Amino acid sequence: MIQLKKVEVRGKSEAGDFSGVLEFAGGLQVISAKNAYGKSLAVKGVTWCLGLDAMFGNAENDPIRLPEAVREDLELAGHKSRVLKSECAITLEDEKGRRLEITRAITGGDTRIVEVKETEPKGTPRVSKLVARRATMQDQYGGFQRFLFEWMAWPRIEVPTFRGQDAEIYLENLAPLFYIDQDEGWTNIQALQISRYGQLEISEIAVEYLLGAMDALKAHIARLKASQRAAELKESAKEIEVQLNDEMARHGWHVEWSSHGSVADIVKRWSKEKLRDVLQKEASVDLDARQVDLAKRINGLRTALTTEPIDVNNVNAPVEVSQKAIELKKQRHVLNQDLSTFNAQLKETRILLDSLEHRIQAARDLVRLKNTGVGRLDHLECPTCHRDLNPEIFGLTSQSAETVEAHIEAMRSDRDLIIRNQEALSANVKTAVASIAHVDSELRDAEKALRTVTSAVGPVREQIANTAAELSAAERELDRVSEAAKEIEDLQASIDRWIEDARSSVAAAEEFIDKTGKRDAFVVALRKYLVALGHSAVKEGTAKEVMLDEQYVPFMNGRRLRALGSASDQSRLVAAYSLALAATAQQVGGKHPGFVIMDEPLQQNPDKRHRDLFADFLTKELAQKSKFQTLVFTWLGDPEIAKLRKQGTVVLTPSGEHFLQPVKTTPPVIAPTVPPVPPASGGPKAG
Amino acid sequence: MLLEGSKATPVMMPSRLAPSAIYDVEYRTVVVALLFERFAKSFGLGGHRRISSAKLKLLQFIAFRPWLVSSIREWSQGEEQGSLGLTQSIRSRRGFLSDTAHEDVINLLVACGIFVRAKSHLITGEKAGELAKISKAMKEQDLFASMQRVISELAEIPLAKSMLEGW
Repeated sequence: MIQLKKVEVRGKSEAGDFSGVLEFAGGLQVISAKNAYGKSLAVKGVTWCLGLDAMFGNAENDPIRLPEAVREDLELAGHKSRVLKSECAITLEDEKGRRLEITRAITGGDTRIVEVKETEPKGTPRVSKLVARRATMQDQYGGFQRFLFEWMAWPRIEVPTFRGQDAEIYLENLAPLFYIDQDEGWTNIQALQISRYGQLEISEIAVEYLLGAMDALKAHIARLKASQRAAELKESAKEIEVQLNDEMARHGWHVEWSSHGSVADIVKRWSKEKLRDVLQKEASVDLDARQVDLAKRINGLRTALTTEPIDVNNVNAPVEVSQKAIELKKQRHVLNQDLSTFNAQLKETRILLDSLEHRIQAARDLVRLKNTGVGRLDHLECPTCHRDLNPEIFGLTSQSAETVEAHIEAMRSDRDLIIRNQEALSANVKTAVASIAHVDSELRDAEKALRTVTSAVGPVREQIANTAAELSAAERELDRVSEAAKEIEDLQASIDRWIEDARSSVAAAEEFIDKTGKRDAFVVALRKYLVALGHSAVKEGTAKEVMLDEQYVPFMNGRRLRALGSASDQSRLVAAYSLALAATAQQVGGKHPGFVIMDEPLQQNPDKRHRDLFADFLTKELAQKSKFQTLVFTWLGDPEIAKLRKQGTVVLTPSGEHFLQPVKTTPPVIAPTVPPVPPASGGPKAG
Repeated sequence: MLLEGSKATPVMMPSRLAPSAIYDVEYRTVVVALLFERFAKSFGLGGHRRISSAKLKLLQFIAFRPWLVSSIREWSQGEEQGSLGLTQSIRSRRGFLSDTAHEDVINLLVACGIFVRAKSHLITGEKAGELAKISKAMKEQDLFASMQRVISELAEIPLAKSMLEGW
């Protein structure tokens, strides 16, 4: 674990050099200074040096979040002067005594670069210039976060994103758990967690990371990947379903082969039966038997044509051939009629669907109109008597946004039904087209046979011609059946491959059971801090009911803790969560950096009762004896400071009007000294 | 008795009870505003504009039902252009004759001073600016975009006088 040892802001203005320094020890320290002193500059300087620009939604390398005093004009000794150059530096130190001084220009320098001075306890310092933002993690030699993670011995971990590609865990994903910002940080646990990198479930992952629960984290990521893979598998299952149904429709067969349900459901269903068996059961198509029958028929016809005797008195051949052609024509006519009906119905359905889309879109716009008031007649009055006009007198109604939304819901249901109807009609069209193609092919054979038979002279030749035509048709049919059998085999191979993929994916997503007890330790610590901070819904006797759900969200008696207690408990929950996480990480050997910065916790609930509650917390052993560093930036009145100091809380009270002061000989340093001593005259007060 | 015996539970579906948005006065006013802005012609010296009541009624009827645009186009292109052109106009007729909501909206707009009736036409009244504001807001906010597309399509279809008579 590390400590923040120093924050320094320095620079040059037209009126001369200026500087401000805050130095810290371990454990709890309260930095108390009045508003506009420059506490925020010191606090924000920490995030600036760590390159956490993205956390606040700022453009990369833009110091806009820092006060104007270090960017534009600075008031020194009562006079405003332009800032020519400024920079911020922080010093971190770990338990082995290794130091890191991180400096980043604010104005008048290259804000993209972070200068890092690395000092070993007995070694010579090493200075590197690293890139603060762009490729900060990916650049092996020049990335600042890449360097910092290595220095901290933090593992680099990739997390799936909603974009499909993995993204690393960045410092700005972890910092919302130990840096509570004055403006936005107190509204919720991890209020400043950034979502635009697209990492899935990053809030939970950040907690697991800082707890050092690496097995749980790996299992979590595996689950996320399995879930993404499940979505891909569902997509490919749908493709197989569409391909299969198209193929079936092309042959005029109807089978139930759907991709609805979860991946596990589909695996179960698809592996129960082979496609050939389903085809046989549901469409009465036995391709093997059909191939055997056709082969027998071909053999029979060949025998009839080559060796069997011919009945010279049989004159039926032309009639049979002609009758077959007539039957097929009738069949084609009926099928064409069906196709025409299906196409007409499909066209009507498409028109209906278009009209519904139009109506849904218009109704959505109407809801917008109702909600925003854009484009409404503001005031209806009679131009002569100036009385208000009620549309109801004219038999008209003005519907509410809720009514229109309910109507949209009804139209959506109708649209779903129509879409299903359209799909069924499309399937019917495909089947009808396939059947017509099949009948057409048979008809061509029959007409060819008819032409051959009618051109033959005498019953013998007629019979021979008929048999030859039948043989030819049977051979073509065998080719078609063999081709269909091959297609079914290919589809079955796709299904088998899909099942194999899906089975391995389902196995990877098995539930992880935490045996390390880190989560339990976190819950225990959270309960202690909630009670100590005075959360109104969590008392000594009821604290055991506080639990964490799968997403590390605190719950109590089945309700989110955020929804319990009073509005002022929100900031207490945020503080308890951050401090409990740091304490747990320290206890279980987690990856927490070892310091928690809380900017203006008292401004969240400025009334006396809430100030007293927080001040009481600062005097408790839990706060004072923590093994991690807690830095609280706030303003306390003199009685509050005296009370805290009396009870052993370290309170720094920097002197002067502002944090930044003109540099004379040495910059003023505000450093803690223990035990508390009275403030030295002219210098910073320390307690 | 039968229902009691079956232990059937009544289920209320609010979405099925909601009236169609097509009867909402604001929706209809927006459509009238968009159509008037597009089709009304300058009239007289006072900067007034006017539109045939029958034309407005037919246009708004189609604007609400874009699937009828093709039949109106066929009707317009057909030789039998009159109001008795039953083969083409039959789809439009269904519902058009009983479309009283439009008349109610026009009555309201006349009562507000937005329109003034002048025989078979509607002329801009002293509050007609309100209608222009609505039309402008719809375009700026890109509201009812599909409706605006239909109106643009309708502008390409010539509507003969005979198509507006005899309804």
